[in-house]
Amino acid sequence: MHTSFQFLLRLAGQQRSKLVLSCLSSAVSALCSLIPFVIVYQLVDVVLHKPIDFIAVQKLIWIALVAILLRFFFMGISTMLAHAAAFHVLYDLRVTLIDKLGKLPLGFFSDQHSGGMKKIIADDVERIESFIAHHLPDLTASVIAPLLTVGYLFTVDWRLAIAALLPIPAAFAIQGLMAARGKRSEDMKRMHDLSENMNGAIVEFVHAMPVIKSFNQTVHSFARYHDSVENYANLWTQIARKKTPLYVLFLLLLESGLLFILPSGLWLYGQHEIKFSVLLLFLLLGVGLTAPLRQISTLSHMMQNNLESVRRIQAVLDEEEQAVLEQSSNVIPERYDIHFHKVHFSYGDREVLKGIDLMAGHGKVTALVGPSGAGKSTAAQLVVRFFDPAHGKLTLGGIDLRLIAPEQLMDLVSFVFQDVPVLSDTVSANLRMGKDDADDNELIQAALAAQAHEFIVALPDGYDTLIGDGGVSLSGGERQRLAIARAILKNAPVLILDEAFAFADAENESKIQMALSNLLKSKTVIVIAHRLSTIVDADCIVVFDNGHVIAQGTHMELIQHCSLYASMWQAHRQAGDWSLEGKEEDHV
Amino acid sequence: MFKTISLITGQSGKLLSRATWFTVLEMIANAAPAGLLYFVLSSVFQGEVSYRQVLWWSAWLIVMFALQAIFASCGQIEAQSSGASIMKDVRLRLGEHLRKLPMGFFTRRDQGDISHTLLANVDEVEMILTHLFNQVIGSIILPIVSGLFLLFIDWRLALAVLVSVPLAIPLLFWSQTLMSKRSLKRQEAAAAVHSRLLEYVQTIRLIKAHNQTGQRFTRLDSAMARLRDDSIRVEVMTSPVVMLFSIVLELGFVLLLFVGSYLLEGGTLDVSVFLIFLVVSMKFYQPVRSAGVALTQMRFMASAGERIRELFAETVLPEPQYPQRPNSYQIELEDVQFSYGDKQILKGINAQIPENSLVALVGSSGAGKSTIAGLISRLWDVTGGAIKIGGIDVRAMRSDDLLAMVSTVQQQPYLFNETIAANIGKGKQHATIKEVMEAAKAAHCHEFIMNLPHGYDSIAGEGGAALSGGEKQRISIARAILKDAPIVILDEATASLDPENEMYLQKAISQLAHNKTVLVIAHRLKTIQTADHILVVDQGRIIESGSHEELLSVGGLYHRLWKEQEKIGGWKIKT
Repeated sequence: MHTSFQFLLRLAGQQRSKLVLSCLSSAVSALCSLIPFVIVYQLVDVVLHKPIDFIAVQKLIWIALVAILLRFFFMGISTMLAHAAAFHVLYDLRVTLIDKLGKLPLGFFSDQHSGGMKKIIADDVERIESFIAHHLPDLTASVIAPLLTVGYLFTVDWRLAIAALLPIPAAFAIQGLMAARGKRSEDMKRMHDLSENMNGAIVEFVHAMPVIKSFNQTVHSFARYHDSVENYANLWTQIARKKTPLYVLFLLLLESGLLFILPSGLWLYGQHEIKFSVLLLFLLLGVGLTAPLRQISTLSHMMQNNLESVRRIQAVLDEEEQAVLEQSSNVIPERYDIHFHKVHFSYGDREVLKGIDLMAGHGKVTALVGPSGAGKSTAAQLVVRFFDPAHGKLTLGGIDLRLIAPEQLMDLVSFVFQDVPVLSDTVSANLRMGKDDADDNELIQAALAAQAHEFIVALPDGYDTLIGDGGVSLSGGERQRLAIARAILKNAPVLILDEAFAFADAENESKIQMALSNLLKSKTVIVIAHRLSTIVDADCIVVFDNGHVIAQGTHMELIQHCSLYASMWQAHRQAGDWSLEGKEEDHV
Repeated sequence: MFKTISLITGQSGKLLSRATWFTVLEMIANAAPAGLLYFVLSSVFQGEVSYRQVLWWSAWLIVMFALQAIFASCGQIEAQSSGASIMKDVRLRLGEHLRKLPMGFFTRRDQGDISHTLLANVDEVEMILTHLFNQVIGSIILPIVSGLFLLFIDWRLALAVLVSVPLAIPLLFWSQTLMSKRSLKRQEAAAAVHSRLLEYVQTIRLIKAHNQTGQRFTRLDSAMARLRDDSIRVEVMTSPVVMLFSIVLELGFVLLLFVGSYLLEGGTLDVSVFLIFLVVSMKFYQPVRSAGVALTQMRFMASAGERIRELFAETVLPEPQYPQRPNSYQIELEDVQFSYGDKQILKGINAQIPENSLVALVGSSGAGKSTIAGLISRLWDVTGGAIKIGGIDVRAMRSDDLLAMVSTVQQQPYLFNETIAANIGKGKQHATIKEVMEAAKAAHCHEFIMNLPHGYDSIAGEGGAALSGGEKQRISIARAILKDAPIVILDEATASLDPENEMYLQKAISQLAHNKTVLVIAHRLKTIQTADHILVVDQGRIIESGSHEELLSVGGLYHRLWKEQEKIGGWKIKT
């Protein structure tokens, strides 16, 4: 809690000048809010003193007017400054967070729900707003106003001033009782856990809609959604029942000044110890004296709530970034041959690479083949440092990948995925990811080379068509050709093709292959292709099995010396002839 | 705004009213001491005060205090728990509603947007219901009670105190209009940030690969900057008006001083009455002001309610009044037309898929093959013509019945973030683990599942990075086998996989297709050459149909595609 609070203060520190001014204005406003009470106090003395001095009365009225104007003027200034500061802090924090996400290994993302991550950056960050925009200035006012009041009241009559302060010990006795009945922060944590769980369930629910519809999973049988919503609601109710009565008592006691002031004030007045105006002053100011403490308490309540959000944000910021061995070295490889040295890698407790040694030569095509789950895609992903190996190392041109600045590495390597995502943006924006400053002509050239130009111009707005979520949805083959066009624009010396042929229909496939032929020229290429016939002419074919490299060589060598490769080749040839035969047999 | 809320909360609106009554009682108990003060002060003015009186008054205070505490607790518990149950109800109903919407809705709307409504917007409405609503009620009751009390004591001074309220209220409404206009924009900006964030997290691989992380991903950065600026604007535009409201309101106090001193001068006002007014009026404006603030917040959050209402307003796929059920499963497409936006995708499709036959749809991408498949399972409705199963229009069936009779295996299977057993088990309600394993064996995935560290209890889905595409595909086929629906649609289910996987997948599909009416969408023509019937789709029309041999002899598009594919077989990666 302590460090979370410090973290908040450090964040707020980024906007120090705005916030200091805001708190000052808030304090001035608090001071002005007391003046009308003092006016009433003095007015009582004036009007009770016959004959009434009406000039003095007028003077007091004018002072009251000015005090009211100043009070709200400064309150407005304080609010605006605090909000401006808060929203700047939120923006900066979000930028820090998304920057951080970019530096994490991709393994991090497979462990997290995208919904949960989004919640942290969007919602948890938003909660900090109330701390900076409301709590800080309010806290200042809540501290300054009672202190000024108490000081003033003590100068008027110390006995009644003490009576006015009595609600405080009473209220805190109750709070002690509350603390004894269970820690609030534990409930808060459970609450957040359940809320995150619900987040994940809802995001999945929306994304899985096609499956939910076709498998007829009603909301009720869609157990996870239903349960998470229900659990969340139940915990709410439970917490409400448990906490409310004492909490309400605590809040009311804080405002119970009248209970103490009225009897003691009347008694002192009866004893002629105090003037009538003093009694009245305490009834006015003393009664409300402890009310700002209520605000402090609600603040701490809300802070508890928000600190959990802060902890979540901190957890993301504390995640271990991908290592850059010597940050400043920034070496640039001159050759682009890729070596794996005894590389091990696991997903959780499933070890997928068990000591891989392999070499992809500069300017050569190296194919990775093997049964599914053998580790080919993982190996390819290590080259782009989507993950780092658990043991062993990878080098590019003899330099450890971790020595190369991540941005530098990304510039050197193009990657065409099996499952190509698109951004919900225009076609040209998607293409420009490959090269920021590409002009329209370059875009078209790349699209032409990738055999994508034709379908792009057929879209409603051509290159300006919105695609992805909320726009035109492209077929798998079309997305693939976009990815290739992007890679052509990028023109990096190393190219990794992981199933770049998936999702192609007959017509597309030959186009994609033409596109690829354009892309491959004089590059270091690592290719993963399921259709073995595609890669028979690769310079080197590496056979993976169960996390090991069991053989490498040319197609002809492997056919003769590697039984696994030979049987895969056999299976491939058979698959080519297959035609839903089980079905047909049934028919005959 | 209230209409929106009651529409959202539906029946549960009643639950809340109990909480409201408790709040009213609490406020009366809260205002009572001020009345007591009146008697106390008048007695003090009249002369000596006895100790008995002091005791008596103190006892009254304590009773009022206790009542206030009881009413307040009851009110809050009531409000919080009914708020929670209302929100649960809204989320479940909204989920149910979403399920009934045509699939077209989900392709049209941003998914991040939809989940934002289910999450954040529902929470915001809850805030209105549980906290703000009662706060507003309370803040209205309290000034009314004390206002009536003041009128009762001295109407002239009371008017001086009260007159600022009607003068200030228009300012409050003005600030609210400003705010609702602005916060609508802010909401849009927030929704944009949510969508962009989701996109950022989900496509992080792509973004990393192109060095566009952090602020370099300008779409997200500018969305966040816009949110910042819009948020600041909401405050800067409205707070001056809100402050003006407060000033006008509290000027009533100054007016009271003026009128009071004038009347005192004229000798028509008793000093004791004036003093009582001073005391009571000091407490009069605070609740009015907080009512203003709470109302503003309510407005702010009500735009969240608006978005929920919009989702509820989306029209669901219409259900027939007298649903029919087919006895047989041949599928007929009668002059089927379909437009998406203003783009006509299907321009009159006529075809028949006899029961227990295998019919293939081929053609270039974008020709409308997948659309035809989607229309059969009513992911959308046709915009012209009709689709019939067993002679019955699909729109005349209950959509649950229809979905139960069709299994679709898609190009990219979606797995839930649950165990593999649970994923397969989705195919059939209350499936036993034995049935799940049977299906897995038939789909040729039992073996690899057993090799996973936790077997059937391994988690698949978003966190299941360790499953290959082919493995996921076979799990989705096991799910379909368990479902055992009479109609099977394979939508490019055999997109190219590694040879081993492809072989297993093909065996799995053969199991699934056994004794079913099957529609295959395939791009590898070899795999469908033995189909009973092949339909060649081009630009939304069927241009050729027949068996493989018949189509080859026609020498049209099918012939061309076939030739093209033979060529690919010879393509090799090395130039």
